[in-house]
Amino acid sequence: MKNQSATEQAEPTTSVTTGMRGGLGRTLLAAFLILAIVPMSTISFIAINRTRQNMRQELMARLTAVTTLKETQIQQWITEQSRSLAVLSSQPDVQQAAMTLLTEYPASAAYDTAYTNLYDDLRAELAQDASFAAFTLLREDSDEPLLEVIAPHKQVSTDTTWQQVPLTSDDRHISPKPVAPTLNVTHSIPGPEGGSMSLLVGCLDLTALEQIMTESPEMGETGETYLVTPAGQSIPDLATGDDTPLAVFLHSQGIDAALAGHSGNGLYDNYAGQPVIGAYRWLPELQAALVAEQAQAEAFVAEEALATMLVGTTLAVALLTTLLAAVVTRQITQPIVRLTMRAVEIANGDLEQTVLVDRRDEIGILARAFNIMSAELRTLYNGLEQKVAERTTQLREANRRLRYRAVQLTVSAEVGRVATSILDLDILLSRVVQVIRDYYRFAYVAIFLLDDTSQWAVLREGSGELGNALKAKGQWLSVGEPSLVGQVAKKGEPQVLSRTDARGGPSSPPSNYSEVAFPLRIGGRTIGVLDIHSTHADAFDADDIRVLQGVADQIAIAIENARAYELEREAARQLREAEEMRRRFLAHMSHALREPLTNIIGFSRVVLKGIDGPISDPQRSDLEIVYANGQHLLGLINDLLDVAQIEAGLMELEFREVDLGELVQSVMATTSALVRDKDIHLHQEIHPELPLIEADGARLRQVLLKLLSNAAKFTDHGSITVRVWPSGDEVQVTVADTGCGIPREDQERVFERFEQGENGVKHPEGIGVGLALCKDFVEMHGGRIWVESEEGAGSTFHFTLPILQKRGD
Amino acid sequence: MRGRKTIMSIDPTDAHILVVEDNVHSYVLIARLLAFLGVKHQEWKRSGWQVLEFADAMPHVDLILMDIHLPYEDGYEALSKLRNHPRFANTLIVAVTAEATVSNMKRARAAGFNGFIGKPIDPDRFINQMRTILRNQPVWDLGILTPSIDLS
Repeated sequence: MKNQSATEQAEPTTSVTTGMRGGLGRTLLAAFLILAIVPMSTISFIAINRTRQNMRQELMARLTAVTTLKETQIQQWITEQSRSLAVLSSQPDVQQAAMTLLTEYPASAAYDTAYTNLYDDLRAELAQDASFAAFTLLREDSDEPLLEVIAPHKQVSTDTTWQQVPLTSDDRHISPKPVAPTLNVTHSIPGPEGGSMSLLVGCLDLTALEQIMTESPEMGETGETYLVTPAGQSIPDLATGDDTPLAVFLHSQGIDAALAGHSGNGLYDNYAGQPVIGAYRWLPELQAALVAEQAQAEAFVAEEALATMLVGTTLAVALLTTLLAAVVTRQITQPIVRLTMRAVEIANGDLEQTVLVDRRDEIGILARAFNIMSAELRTLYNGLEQKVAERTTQLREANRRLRYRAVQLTVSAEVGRVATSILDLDILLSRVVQVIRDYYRFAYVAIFLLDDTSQWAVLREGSGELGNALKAKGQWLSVGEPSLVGQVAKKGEPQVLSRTDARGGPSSPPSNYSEVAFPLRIGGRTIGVLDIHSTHADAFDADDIRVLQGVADQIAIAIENARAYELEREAARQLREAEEMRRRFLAHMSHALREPLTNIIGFSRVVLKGIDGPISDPQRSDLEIVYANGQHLLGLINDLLDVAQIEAGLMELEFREVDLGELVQSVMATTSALVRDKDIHLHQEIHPELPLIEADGARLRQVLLKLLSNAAKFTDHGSITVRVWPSGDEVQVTVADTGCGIPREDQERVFERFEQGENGVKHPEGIGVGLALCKDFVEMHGGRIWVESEEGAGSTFHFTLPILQKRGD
Repeated sequence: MRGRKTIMSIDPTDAHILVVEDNVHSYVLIARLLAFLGVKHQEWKRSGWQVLEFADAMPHVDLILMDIHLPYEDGYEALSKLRNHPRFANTLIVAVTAEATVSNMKRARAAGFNGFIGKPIDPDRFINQMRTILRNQPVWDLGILTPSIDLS
């Protein structure tokens, strides 16, 4: 069920489950099998190989021994036959007959008798000894047989070419006759003294040899030994059946090797194409190859049997191992699989899982540990919800505190901002009260300020409708009275009041409330009280009080700043008013002083011009005095007004492009009237390339007029010369006269206000502001003014003016 | 001013002149000088109040000499009202003021005055200034700042 639910869930989980289950068992099983089978197979393989090798070596050795044995047997047999032939040939009868046959003519009687006797003897011998198939008597030096006897019933090839055989007494080789192989033994018979001797050749019956060859009982059923001649004929004749002997030529790896003169053994296919194990050797005496062979099928029977047994054993062991491994693997993996399934289910959220494993090994321990862990997990999980709830509560509390802290900070910052940005005290306090109440959600916030006598705390600002109402009514609390505000105003320490009944409070506070009051202090002096009401009991903890006292301190400073600003603003306003008054006064003076004077001057001029009718000479003379004095007075008044304006800082020049040459000419024209009655020549020297300058033309006119009228005033005869020339980025002007000059000690003071040269006594009309004004005007242009003079030799006034004004702003 | 180039010069004896001046003596001086010049038709207005209505009541106005510093409305306000009236849009209006500074002259030019004569009035020059204006040539004169002059 659980598993199914797990299967229905996300695929990864499912795949994990199955993967773990199959994997471990398979891996273990495979490991077991590999561990069991691989070494066994290797050992079996090596054993089989080794055994087979040993057996083959043994077989080879046996076959080689057989060949050796056969060779010996053949030698023995041939030696026996040779010995019998020697015995025969040494018989006196035979020797005598052979002598006769050699020496007598064939047609003689002795020859015939000897021939017949020998023939009979040899015939008898052939009958007696079956080993020989025929006897031939040969002359040593001829290949013509003297006598030939062939055993009855025996097939012997008759066309023997004796030249092919070296006829020595020891020659025993098999003649490779075309029809069938023959084996001859030869023995010499001595002939007459000094004559050639004869040879007795015994053609051996090869049946005996065949018998020797076929007699090999230790060779098993398929074993055979045979001789092969270089012509490919075999003894016994292996070319079976119907084929003509000539067509048969035996071949095999062993035969060919032996015929080539090698000895050895090996596995190869015999002449009939059958796989055999064989040994072979070349018999040089017989001029034949001796081969012993056994069919591999037979020879390797034992070997195959052993291999079969070994493979069977291995397979059996492997099977057993597999079974054992399967059982063990199952034993190991099953609890693990169970554990895994449970773990997966726990992972899927089902915590009610235990594993029943009654074992004492590590798996048992693992299972128990698993059970403990799952139990722990259950406990933890069950406890988790409670913990989450607790932690959530803690977090909420922390959050609330953070928010509250943020409120505190915001209020402090906001109050600070208000305190620095608002300088109007009423607006400031109104904002502060509002900020504190709104952010903290207090019921009521009020600010009291002490009056000048410090006897009363007067409500200056209160929040909301209540505040407005109380403010309108006017709330005066006596300093030192029992109310919180009265107490704090007196003691200068914050105080808290909580859970009071509807006893005190501004109007009708709720029965459950807290109040806190903070002194507004400046340098130890209490200037007011910040009063806060809350509709909650114990609304203010130590932290609040600390923060709010900070806010109260900020408010106190802000109030002080606002008051200071108020004073400063008042001072500035008064200053501005004073300045404005001065300006108005000057303007008024200018108007009020000059207006009547202009009328005096104007009307006297009108009368003098005869507009109002003819006047007498004394009248004209008097009126001219009136007119001249009026002009003089106007000049003085203008000077005074200028000075006043400069001193008040109200004088402003109006810079325009001015043609100084033109200005000088115009002023000179005016001045000519001043020197009309004197012996004075006026000169002007204006540089032809004088640039236009930036200047206040009216003021320059004043300066020039002043200097020229001064020069005219102090010069009785001579000349007055005005020179103008450019000098760098300036223009220089000099007014030179030939007057009385200025004493050296006075030269520096002539430009000071209300000063006049010693000569001033002589000319008391001036009040000594003229040159000072010139200096002011020149310097306001950024120029310089000075005088060079020698008493009695005239004075030269210099001033410079910059061509371009500096634009400071 | 530009359009006025086509206006013929006016003989002082034919000229109708309105003097707006609050100071009696100043007015009398101007009046004397104008009479000396031969002007027969001249009117006097003592304040800036209802200058337009006053002028409009006159049958003919060739020139208005306007003080700037006036009770009720100053010269600029009076000028503005006059200029807004079609009849006086092109009439010669010259400022005659004791506040004779370059900046005031600039202001007067910008406001629409046709000339500027600084006070105190110099009787010698005033007669010529009037003649120039009546010849329809502009006069922009700050007047002479009179220095203290040796009278001996």
